[in-house]
Amino acid sequence: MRLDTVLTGSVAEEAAGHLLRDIRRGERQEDLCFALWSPSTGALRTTAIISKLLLPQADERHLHGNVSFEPGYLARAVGEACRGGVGLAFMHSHPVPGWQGMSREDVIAERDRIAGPARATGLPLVGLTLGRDGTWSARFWRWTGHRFERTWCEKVRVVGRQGIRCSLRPPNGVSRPPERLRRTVDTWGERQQLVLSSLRIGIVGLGSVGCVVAEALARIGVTDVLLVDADRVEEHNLDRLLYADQHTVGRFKVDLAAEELRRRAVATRFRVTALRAWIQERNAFREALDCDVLFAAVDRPLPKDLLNHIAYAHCIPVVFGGIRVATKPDGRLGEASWSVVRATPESRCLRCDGQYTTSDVTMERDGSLDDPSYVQIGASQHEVVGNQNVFPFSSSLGSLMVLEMLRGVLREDWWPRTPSKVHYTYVAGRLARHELACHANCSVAARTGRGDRVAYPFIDEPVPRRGVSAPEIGTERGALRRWGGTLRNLFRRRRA
Amino acid sequence: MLDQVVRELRELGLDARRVELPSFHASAGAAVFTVPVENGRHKGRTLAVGVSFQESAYPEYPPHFIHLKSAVRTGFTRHSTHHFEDEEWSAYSFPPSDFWDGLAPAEKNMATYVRRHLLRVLSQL
Repeated sequence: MRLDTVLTGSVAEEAAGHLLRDIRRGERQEDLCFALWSPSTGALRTTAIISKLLLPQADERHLHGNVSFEPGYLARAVGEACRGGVGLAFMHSHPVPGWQGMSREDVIAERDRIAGPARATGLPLVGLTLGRDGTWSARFWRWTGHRFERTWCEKVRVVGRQGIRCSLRPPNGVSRPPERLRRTVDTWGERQQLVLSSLRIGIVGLGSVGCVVAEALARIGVTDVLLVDADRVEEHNLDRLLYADQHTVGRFKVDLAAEELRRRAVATRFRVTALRAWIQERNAFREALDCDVLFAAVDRPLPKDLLNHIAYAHCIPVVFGGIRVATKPDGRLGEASWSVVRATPESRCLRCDGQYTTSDVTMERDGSLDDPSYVQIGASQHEVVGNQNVFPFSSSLGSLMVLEMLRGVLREDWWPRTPSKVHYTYVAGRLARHELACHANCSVAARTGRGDRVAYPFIDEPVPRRGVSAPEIGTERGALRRWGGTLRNLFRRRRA
Repeated sequence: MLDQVVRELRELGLDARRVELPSFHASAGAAVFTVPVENGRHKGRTLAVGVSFQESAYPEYPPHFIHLKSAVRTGFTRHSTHHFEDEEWSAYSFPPSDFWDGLAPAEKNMATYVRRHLLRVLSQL
């Protein structure tokens, strides 16, 4: 099981304000504080989400170049963690830059003084060190039955309005970029390329937009990609789906995309995981929790709602893209627009942005969303909004989504504030940027950083779908369909 | 969850009771009650109304099906019919999507649903 730690931008800012206060004034004075953390458990990774700081009160800690704390401060912190059903974290600062190792005194403090009382929470102690330059390092202290064992986190992420900032543990196992990435590295530098190649990136929905996103990720040297989609290639996809042709009709979209990405990826070590699943299936959901960034190229309310939940409860930024095309009653193009929304803690969530409502989710779950008995006629008599789309619209949106992800990852301090939403109107030729927040009562934003403590209610519940249904996958009927698809493909190839 | 709904409706003074709708849209059941209509074609009448639910989602995810006895005339054509307790009922989809997600957690309850949504729908029949 891999380990990571994540902080929201505001928690990281508050922690840095406290821990680096004297260091930023040029003094070599370290500082400390306790914090609370919630677990986020994926398939192969556990992430500690630092949710709240417990700053020291008067006389609870002593500054003397180094820093020490009173037992009462530790007792207060353990008590608060136990009452909240969360874990205990201990943070301190070092007056030097970069990922920090631990001195003998650091180890004694965390292993011998704090980890024991922290066992009362039922979760391991998480220790974090903040370097002078804002680089975090983190480790878990787990009880093995006879001693505390330290396991270093691979990275610490700070996720917020301005994107995602990663502190990587050296050596991070990522080799120097190969020659075939030279132009890419020349564009943003080797350090940023190392950060990019350390990310696990998920794409949910491998339709016309998702495949463009996948292609772009493979070309910029991303090393670890998760693909999630239970749909198959159909005849009507061929005018938009990047990797599809008439010989691939009937194949799972994720299989096709994974095959093509392995062929095209430019990273030295490239891993792609293809899941023939809906994101609300438990295995797909847990795999998504192993990602550092998720792309949402989905049009259904339930996946949007689940991805929105992941973005806030589990602090994994979700880059959502949506296209709206309206045609005149005579079939001519009326308007086309596409939006990219970065759903991330401290930014506006997809629900507050109007991408779906909870009622849409309810209607999808009971099958009435697509039931003609209940579907109301379109509001406008002058335009028809449906599933119209063309490849250039999808490729533009896919590129825009990757650009917005890159803006969040590569961002330097001198860059202008990153908008949470970009909206392109095609006929008007207008690109608008918006910096928006959730409304005051948003229940999604209220889940920020709560991780596994907030269960999403619809995991593994069957949902009526157009075409193949989720429970069918893995059954005899599903296997028969897959064999049928394979035979159809063989037959088509022979005819071709 | 349905018991909570019935309790909230009774706290409003409505004669709510729980009924099972096993064959209706994966429904966990419905709360059935009578409510006086304040405006519209049926103003002054008291109508029997059913609100059906999926298990586990309320109150974060609100109900959208409103059931009326098919004998009640409405201007809405998009509905389906089903039978329970020897009567034909019609189910209409009226999601409260224009305001529900903006409510504070304490306001997501049947009092808000009835006052802000159900009475509005009944006045538009």
